[in-house]
Amino acid sequence: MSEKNSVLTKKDLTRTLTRYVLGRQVCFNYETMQSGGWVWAMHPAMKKIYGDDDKLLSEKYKSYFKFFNTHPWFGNLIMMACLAVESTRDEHATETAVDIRTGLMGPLAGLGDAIIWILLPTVMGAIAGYQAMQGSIFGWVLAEAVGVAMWLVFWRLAYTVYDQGLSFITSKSSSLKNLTDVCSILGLMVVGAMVASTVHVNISLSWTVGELTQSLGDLLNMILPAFGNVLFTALIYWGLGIKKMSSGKMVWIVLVVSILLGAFGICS
Amino acid sequence: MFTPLQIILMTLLVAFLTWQKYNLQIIAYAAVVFVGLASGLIMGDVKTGLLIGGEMCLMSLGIGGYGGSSVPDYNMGAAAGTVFAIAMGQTGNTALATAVAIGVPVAALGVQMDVIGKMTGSFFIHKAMACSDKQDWKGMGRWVWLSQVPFTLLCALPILLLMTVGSTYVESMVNNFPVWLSAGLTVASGMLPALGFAILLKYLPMKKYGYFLLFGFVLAAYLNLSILAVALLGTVFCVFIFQLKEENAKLALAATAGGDNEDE
Repeated sequence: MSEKNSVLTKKDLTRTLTRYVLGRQVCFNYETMQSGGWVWAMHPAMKKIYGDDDKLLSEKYKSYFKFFNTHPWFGNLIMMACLAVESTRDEHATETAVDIRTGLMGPLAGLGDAIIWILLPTVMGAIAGYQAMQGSIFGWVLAEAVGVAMWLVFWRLAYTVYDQGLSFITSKSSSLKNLTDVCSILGLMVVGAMVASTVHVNISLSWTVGELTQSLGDLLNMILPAFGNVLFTALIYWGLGIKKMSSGKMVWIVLVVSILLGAFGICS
Repeated sequence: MFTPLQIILMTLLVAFLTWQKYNLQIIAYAAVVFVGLASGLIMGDVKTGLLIGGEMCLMSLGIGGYGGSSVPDYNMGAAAGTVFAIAMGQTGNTALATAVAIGVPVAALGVQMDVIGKMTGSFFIHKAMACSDKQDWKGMGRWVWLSQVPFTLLCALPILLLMTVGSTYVESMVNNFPVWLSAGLTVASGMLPALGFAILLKYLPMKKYGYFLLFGFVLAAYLNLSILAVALLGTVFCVFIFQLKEENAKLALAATAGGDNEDE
């Protein structure tokens, strides 16, 4: 992978990337997950590399149709790393490429989830959501701008990966783990802040002793601010750990429980 | 209640969003706000659309289909909630209550649609593989893409049914909301964001780093810092931690290499 790859031109790479972003998860299924869209996306480039040897391609695709699942944006890079290997037309190119693909999909999915699917959307979504509720579209414009910028980074980076291989990522596998770790830490901090600010559960039970009306919610909030938020987030977190529980079932449970709590005036 | 054009546009919008959510992903962040906006535009009340999109977006925070899992689809929910609130001429808090009452169950239904859609994928992938074995490249592409027909249709089906055969039922249901239900729905809209965060925590390293939750909580609850402020402050901490970890790794490497330090 050290020598410059020149089998595929920039135009070929753009074509592959375009196909990949349009169809990277079409034909998603529980057996092979993202492999269908992958093979469809890489086909023109593979045809250019191996000419019209359809029999050979058919053999190679058997390996590429195997299980594949990663963060879709990092998939851009993995695709280019595989094509770089295939461009050598080495006898064992496909074996090596599929090994790279399988080896990278896990770690890169972890990193991608932490930054692209957790950290940024949670922060940007909170800003956009609040601003939208106040009637301003600005927050959404900002969120979309950040999203498009990141999207373009991964698009651009893909060309570099084809030219230089993925070594600048794989040689730093310990850094990759550390990066995932600190992004998770940042994620935890943001979630901690949002439990205090974005969740709204007020406990509105109160009782009267003589002339004094005591509110349970106020009392609890004096002990810990946003007590109701913390209590219910913890309860739901615990509930998600119950066997056979799913997020879909939990939505219904939260909906019913909160309607009951509201109807009986326990929460507001 | 709805014009045919509105029904067609909304069905296409949800189908498009289903495809783009998994593939193009150019509307990646705060997409639910976009759904509210677009639905509002189609229904002729952008302001209410934006309001409902914002509320649903806050509920959806933290919810993501990590590793191919199926999660509540708040795009579908926001679309369904918005069209009914606007069609019934509601604004403000009434519109929000209606959106929660209709949108949240639809979002939850999205889980089932997603699972069934991904199940149908098995049929198509085997057809595509068979074509590939026969070197029929056109057929391979066709089967791979045909899988999108049932998948996007399944996800667009709830909104289509609600806006056609279901509309009168939904309307009379919303019109006869008892007071206690409205109170309950307000509680639900405040509590549902907690579900998103709880799901998120299941994917974050709680055992190892869970105590950092407390840090963010204190900054927001006691010091009243905004989310952006917490995120920026957190970035400072995390860059510092990252540097420490990297240096430790270097030291460990140097120690195992017998003290030879070449990269200084």
